[in-house]
Amino acid sequence: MRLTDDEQRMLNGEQGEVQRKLMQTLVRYGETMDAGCLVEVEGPGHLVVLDSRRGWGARLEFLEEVAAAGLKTRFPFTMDPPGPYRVDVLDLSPSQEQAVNKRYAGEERYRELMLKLGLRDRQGTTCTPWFEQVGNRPQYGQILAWAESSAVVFINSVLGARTHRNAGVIELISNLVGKTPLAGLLTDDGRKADWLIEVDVSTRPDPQLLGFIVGDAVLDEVPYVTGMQPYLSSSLDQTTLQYLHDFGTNCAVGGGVGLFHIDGVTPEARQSGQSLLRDYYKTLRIDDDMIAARQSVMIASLPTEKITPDKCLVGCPHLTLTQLLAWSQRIDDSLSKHHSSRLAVETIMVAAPEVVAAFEASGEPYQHFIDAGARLSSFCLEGLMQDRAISPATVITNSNKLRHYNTGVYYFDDELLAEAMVTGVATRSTSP
Amino acid sequence: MTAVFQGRVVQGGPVDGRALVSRMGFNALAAFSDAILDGTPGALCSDKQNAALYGKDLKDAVLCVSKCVGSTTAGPVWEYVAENGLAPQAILLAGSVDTLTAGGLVLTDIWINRPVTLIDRLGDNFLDNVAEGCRVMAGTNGRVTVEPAVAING
Repeated sequence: MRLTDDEQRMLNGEQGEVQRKLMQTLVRYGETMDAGCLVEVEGPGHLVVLDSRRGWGARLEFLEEVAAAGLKTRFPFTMDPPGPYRVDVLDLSPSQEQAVNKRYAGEERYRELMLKLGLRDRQGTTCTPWFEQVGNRPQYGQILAWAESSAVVFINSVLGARTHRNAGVIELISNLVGKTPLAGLLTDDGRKADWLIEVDVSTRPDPQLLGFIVGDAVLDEVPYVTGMQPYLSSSLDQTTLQYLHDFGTNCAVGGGVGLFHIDGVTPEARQSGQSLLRDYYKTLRIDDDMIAARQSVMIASLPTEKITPDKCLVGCPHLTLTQLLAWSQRIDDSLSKHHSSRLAVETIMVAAPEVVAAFEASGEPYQHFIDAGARLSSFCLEGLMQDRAISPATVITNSNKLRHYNTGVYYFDDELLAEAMVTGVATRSTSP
Repeated sequence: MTAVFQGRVVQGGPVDGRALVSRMGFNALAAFSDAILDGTPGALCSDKQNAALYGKDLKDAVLCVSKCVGSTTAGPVWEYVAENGLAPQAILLAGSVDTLTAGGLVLTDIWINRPVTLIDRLGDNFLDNVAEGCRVMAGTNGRVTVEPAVAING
């Protein structure tokens, strides 16, 4: 890899041992993808290293080492939300509180160090940093160093930014050095499509299902999807953005997709059309039968005909304000239908702190939501489910991502979920 | 019959161990989440979607996979399993390594000082010639030798 004089000096250790290791990490990382050089990071990063738990976040020793060297990112970054540390919506028993405090013993120091290294503020913790209220929204063509699968695939595909699917810690190192290897998804060639996905269906497919099928087929390659123009708007309205977010998230769950193109919809596909396809590409046709088959797998996991869930968790990834407003209405409708005033299942929805604030300011929708007994927070649901001391045994959700990575989590569509929240019983069919 | 493959050494030293094989994408977060959560001495694969590996001990295995997929949390996951002695001895890939695995494994070398060996670009037919239990050996030159699995009686 060609390095500039400054980069070479850093690699030689002339700026200090920590800087040497940071540069060595980037050079080695770049060499694995045959990068010719490093390029400047052009805007704020987003980190996946959510909290101080070992195996989930950056190691405290690493953060201490880097902070002691006086390093800070050039642009203030955002990061994923922490697990359920000091949240008041879980009603934990004293022994559970104790277990959580033990697991998050380093959390305050972790936050302090992250702020020192460039975390924008204590509010900047969400897996959806590109939402209007949060404001870490990349520009078209901008070179960045992000992690968080659902965010990476969205900003690459829908906003046209350029970032690798960086592993946690690597994204922090890239932002601290201010450089990232020029290769793969940062280049025009790396953004070409390896797959033509022909969607030939009679109705708009569920975005999570479609995304999961595509990810499962293409793994970490780039798909170019046709047949979706009747269902999506090229002006990228709110409904389309939400669809693409759900689709992309599940492309990354089913496989390892960092970029997709949708014919006539996503910016690079609008600009270049099918010329984005490589000379030799693979083809997959997705029809109604394939969608139905995958759906049956996704919902087949229900252990009995009816389950009585301990909790309903919504917001993996974090919800938009529009979704929260829609949930308030959906809950109202379901309560009216069943002549009830309170939810029967303990329901927690999560969103970015700024989105929560905006929802709280919405007046009536927020009041209805709270009056029904629903709860609102900003922690990471995945973090809750991955903590055996506090995770509920049986959970219902509308997130295929949460279902995929955890046991005891059952997927339902929004209509069935709203019904179950009110009745306390989850089934695969709605009541009359 | 012994089969020999030539790949690219991304990092690490010589390898000599028993193969675990996955033809579907290997998801580090899903595979190691139980090991991270339970703090158990082994690293039983917890990825329910991966029938070939589910329930098998990944610790010290020579993991032969087609591709790696999944969450960007892979970085801290690889650091954790390396630091706690739960990592496979090596990852051998038929194709090119992805950015998540590359990044995560580079961290194990530079920041943990316990490098997990990584050899990629072993060719499409690599996985056709390696089965669970095969003895797999590799030098530092990327030459990988696969010996057939030996049935153990009793």
